Amino acid sequence: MTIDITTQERDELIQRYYDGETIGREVELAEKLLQTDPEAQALLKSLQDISNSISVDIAQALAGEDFSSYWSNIEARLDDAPATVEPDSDVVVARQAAPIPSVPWFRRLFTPAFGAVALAALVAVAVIPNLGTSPSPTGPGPLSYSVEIEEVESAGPLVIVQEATDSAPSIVSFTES
Amino acid sequence: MRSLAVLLLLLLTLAPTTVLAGGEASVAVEVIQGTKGGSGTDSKVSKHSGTLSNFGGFGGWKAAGSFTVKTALGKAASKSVSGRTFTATLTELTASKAKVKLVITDPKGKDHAVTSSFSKGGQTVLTSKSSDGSEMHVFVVRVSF
Repeated sequence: MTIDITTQERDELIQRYYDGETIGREVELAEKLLQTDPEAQALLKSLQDISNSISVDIAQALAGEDFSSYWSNIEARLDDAPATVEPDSDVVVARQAAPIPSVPWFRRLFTPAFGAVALAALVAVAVIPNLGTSPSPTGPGPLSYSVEIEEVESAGPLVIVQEATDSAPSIVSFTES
Repeated sequence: MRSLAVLLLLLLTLAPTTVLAGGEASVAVEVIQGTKGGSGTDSKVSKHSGTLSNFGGFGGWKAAGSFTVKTALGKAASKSVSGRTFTATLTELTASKAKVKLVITDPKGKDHAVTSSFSKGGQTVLTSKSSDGSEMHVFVVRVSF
């Protein structure tokens, strides 16, 4: 079987085959090329050689490294200073802010501001009832016709209720039995 | 901020309706007596002439008595005048309102009652007309707390 393909298309196909990126019937086509075309075989071999030459034994490399001071070295390089703009530059150097410690919400109550508000509230609660129950030494205070009649009961035959106005008090008239 | 908002909301919610334990109200009463077909108003009660003008056909207004009773929460306080008994009972008290039940017991022992909420210095008027219609007693009531 003759494969009608240009040199460039062949090289790109072998490259995709090596990378595992072939689609559809490209795998079948690439393998046929590799069986029949020495240049395709040479290309695949060169790709494998390049890959092998830059491969590193990661486990062996890591074994030779000392990570005991890895995080401490990072922390030592961190700066709490705020982000700055370098002179004559558009580059913003952002530095990570120190993390805000997590504090339960109820512990935030114990602040001077909250103490002041709580004290004011306690004073208000303590004083308002006294204002209401302590008679004025100078008399009963200003007259008010603001009276809400809530319930009327009578054993008599007739009751007349006259609501208060701004200038006159409410009047409830009973007729005795 | 959340806790502060909760505190303020709590205070605003409770303050106007908080019943004041141990409070009392002072109920001052002036009793004015008039007769059917009478005329004139005694000078001692002339300050109430505006109120008394509401009761057409009655006149000869004169003071029948005045008194003050103090009532604590749930405690009735009574005073008798001109054959009637006036009773005041403080039923509820807040910083701005006092709810008081006022009862007039007529000569036959029948009760005529009104329950009202008074603001400070609140005034109301109760009248009790005799069964035969010959006389009227006007109770001018003022509540302080």
